[in-house]
Amino acid sequence: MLIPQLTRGTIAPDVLVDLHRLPGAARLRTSAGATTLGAMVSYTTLIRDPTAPPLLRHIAQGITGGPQIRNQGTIAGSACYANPASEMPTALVASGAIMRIAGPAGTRSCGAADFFDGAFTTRLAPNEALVALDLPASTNSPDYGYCKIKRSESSWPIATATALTSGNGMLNLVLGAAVTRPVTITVPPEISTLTVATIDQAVEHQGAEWWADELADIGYRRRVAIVALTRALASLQERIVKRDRP
Amino acid sequence: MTLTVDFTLDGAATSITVTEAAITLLDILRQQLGKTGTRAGCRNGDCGACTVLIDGEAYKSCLVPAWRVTGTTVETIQGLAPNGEPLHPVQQAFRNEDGFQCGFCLAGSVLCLVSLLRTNPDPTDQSIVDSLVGNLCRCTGYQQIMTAARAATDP
Repeated sequence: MLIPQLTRGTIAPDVLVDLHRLPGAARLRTSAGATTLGAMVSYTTLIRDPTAPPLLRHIAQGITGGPQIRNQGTIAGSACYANPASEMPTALVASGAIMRIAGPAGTRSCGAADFFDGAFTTRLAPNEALVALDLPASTNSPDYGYCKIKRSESSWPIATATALTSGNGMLNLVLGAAVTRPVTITVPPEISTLTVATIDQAVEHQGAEWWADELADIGYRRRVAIVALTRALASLQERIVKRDRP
Repeated sequence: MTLTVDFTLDGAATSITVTEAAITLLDILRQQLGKTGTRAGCRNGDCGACTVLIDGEAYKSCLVPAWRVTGTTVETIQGLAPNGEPLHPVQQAFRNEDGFQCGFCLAGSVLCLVSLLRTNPDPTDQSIVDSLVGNLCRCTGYQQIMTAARAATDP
């Protein structure tokens, strides 16, 4: 969305830096299950690499805008723009991604859960750039659940949800698009423990707010959030059942 | 800023001078290079009417800063059958099957299919849909577009 803002003149940066020339920026590397995405890795690169984390590949395949957007859009770019309705911030928080940030003082790392500050805001300082994302080996699991609720093919999502199992038998759910920044909810495998009150509590405790835009107001998003989370969980359970079926 | 951008456009070596960071490939194509078959629709990356192929992959040229195409090969709808040559098979299929009405979205749909067929000559219906979802048909002629796409993939 930054290019249309540039062409309309609604933003006019003093300096524009092209990261395509950054060595390794467009490279996706997998080693012992862990994945590193350079800042310029596109959705298409992710989709075409069978070693990339299945949850991220699944989400990349469904990014709104067709192959044209998947060829141009980058995972890091989506993260930096931090549009609440974007799918990647939620996926990165769910994956436990570590954001590698470079600036005048050197490089530093920041967990994805801390990186997203609010709607269209991150912890990047004005003179810093996100140069790579590190995804732990635990992300490279075929067992994931995902749900996206949107009005039409070309529409931004209204609510998104991921479901992954965590090491201690609990489930990690992450809610996106309905809130200003991704919200993590950890529940036992029994779905009955997930209630609207649980979600409200997590949103409040994690410093997020319910999000409203021209597609849906806060009331609607709050109502469908539990639907998205429940469906993500059901899709995770379906994958596990399919995998275990002889 | 002043940048000289050299690239290949519809088979011809091309050089342009870019003086604004925000000028898009779409505007250069239409205003300086005579490629008005590339349509200016939403200018927001939504509709796909401005689609071109860059190094064989589909892009919305309203989202591509002109300076980004340095060293690349750009193909527009006008490069598929230049100088009175027979229509490209995808173009011919769209003509045979009435795959367009006003024609505004045509370049996007055709070029996305051309790109798909180069790497996947026998696509499934789902692959065809996946390749076309970035193109909005304002006449809502999606059924004819799918019929034409199937004809192009199974001539």
